[in-house]
Amino acid sequence: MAAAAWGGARLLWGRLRQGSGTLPGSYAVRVAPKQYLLQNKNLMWIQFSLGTDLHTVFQSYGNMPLVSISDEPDTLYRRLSVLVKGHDKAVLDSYEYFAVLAAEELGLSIEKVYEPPRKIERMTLLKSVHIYKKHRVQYEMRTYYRCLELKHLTGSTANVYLEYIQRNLPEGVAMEVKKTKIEKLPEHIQKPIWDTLPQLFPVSVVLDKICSHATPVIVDGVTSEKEETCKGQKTYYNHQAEGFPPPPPPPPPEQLGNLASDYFLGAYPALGKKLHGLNRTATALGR
Amino acid sequence: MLPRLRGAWTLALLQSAANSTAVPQNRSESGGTHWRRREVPRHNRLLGIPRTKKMPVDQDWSNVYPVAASFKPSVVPLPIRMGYPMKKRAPPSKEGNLELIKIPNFLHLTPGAVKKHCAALKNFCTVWPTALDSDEKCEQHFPVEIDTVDYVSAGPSIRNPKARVVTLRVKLSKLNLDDHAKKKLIKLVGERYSKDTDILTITTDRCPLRRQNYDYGIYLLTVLYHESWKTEKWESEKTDADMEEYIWENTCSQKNVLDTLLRIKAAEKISDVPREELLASEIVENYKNSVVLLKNEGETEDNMSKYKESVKKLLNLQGFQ
Repeated sequence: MAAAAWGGARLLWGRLRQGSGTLPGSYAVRVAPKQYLLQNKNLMWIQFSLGTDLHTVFQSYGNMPLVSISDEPDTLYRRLSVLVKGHDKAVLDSYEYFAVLAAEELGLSIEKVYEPPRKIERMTLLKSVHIYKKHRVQYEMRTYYRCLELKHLTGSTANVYLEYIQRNLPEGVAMEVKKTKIEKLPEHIQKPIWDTLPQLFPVSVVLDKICSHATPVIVDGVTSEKEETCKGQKTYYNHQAEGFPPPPPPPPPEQLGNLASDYFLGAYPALGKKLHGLNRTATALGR
Repeated sequence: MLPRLRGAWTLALLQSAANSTAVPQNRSESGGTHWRRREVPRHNRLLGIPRTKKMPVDQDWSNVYPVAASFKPSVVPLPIRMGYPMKKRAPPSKEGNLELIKIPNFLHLTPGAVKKHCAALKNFCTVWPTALDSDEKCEQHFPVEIDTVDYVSAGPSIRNPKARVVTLRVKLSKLNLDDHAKKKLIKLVGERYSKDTDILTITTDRCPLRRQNYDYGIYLLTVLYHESWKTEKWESEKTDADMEEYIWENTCSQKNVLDTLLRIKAAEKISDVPREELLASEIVENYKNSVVLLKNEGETEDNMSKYKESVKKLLNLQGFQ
């Protein structure tokens, strides 16, 4: 049967949100590695044929659990919108019945199921290869739509449902899945960092990307007690690092604090080239 | 042949004739055993009984169609007809019907089969936390919303370049912003902020991968937040035209009102009343509120009538309509 074949052929990660959700007791507590049983079986067969020792090769899959639980919290989707497109309305009708039945069986809450209006693309082409302009032929391509909106799904459930739905997508039908994930505010946005960080030279480079009317003022990069803003911080802009000493190695992470830019640059240095360079010159001044 | 063996040989010949198949055995006349090519016997389906006739009524249908498969007329026990009917004829029957084979069928997804699949899949699902049963609670605990789109279609490539777009939405009331920071943020983002719903929308698609776009979106949000808390030197040059809303303090309207009231008091020969007391008096408060309403919300019936009332009270013109 398909279900047994599924269970045997693939292990899925089941992720549990900490502190919530109820699971029956048969789940394994330890984290088992992902296994592809069919591939392993083939490997087993090859090893058998090479005449290796039976005891070292044989693994029992009978009591190996299929579900494993990891520590990372589950993602939460406030809404999942599944839009299917096809040329045949009857096929979409059947597919909608199947998708709705599957959602109900898995206990998902269906917000609404509706049919957006169809779109017809028509084209008028010449009938003949050469001349005969007055004789044309007309074609049309009809696209029918069906939309199914589900709400309040966890990441694991959404993955399971979508994989099931997508594996059983009929030929000639396309799907778009719009997921709305909800998240907490990142830690770096809870409070402004300017109060906590000592002697930092914040350099605003994003302004000229986001807000074209903000013109950065070029100030000579010497600290002066008079140049204090009403918040009590010193602000400097440095565009061209002319005549400055060569940039020192980047400061240890504790100095810069929990800036998301630092994290971002660490991951994608190619993107923040200008910012990175300016940060370096800024810290040169800070010495 | 010797006459005494004739009976046995004839018996053997008769037996072989009885065992032979219905296909005519056209061997070559020279007596060889070679088959002519077009008369090679093939598996003769006409002889077999179709599976539909051998099916028990109480069988499990998911054993017949466990996975997606094309329509097989000898396996599906339904008298289906499909296609355009010829003149005075019924639509073509299921045997050899290409239309039935072409169309995708859902024979492997009967309700019973779907229920079995879902029962097996239920183990891999987790429960939505019961504390977040309404949208408001979701918003309160999880203010940031991330929108991503996945595309599934058949074609030479499974990738879709539109799949890398990420949209980040957050309500500004959930962020820790003071008055100046909020105004600065709104000025920084421009069109990405919607005043009616108080939602800031950041759409990123400049990176090639979705994960990168998501990281960039979070980075933008962080930078905007921190930048808006800073006050630059040049922000003190903010003019009246830059102001988002009308503030009554230190405007000519306030000066005019004070002047008028002082002159009224002087005309009535009352001693100098201090300015703060005048400012704090109810008449002036009324006037101030009506002017602020007019300037911020525009001219409506309500606002104009409030302004009229406050001016009448200010100038002691109760008699006027």
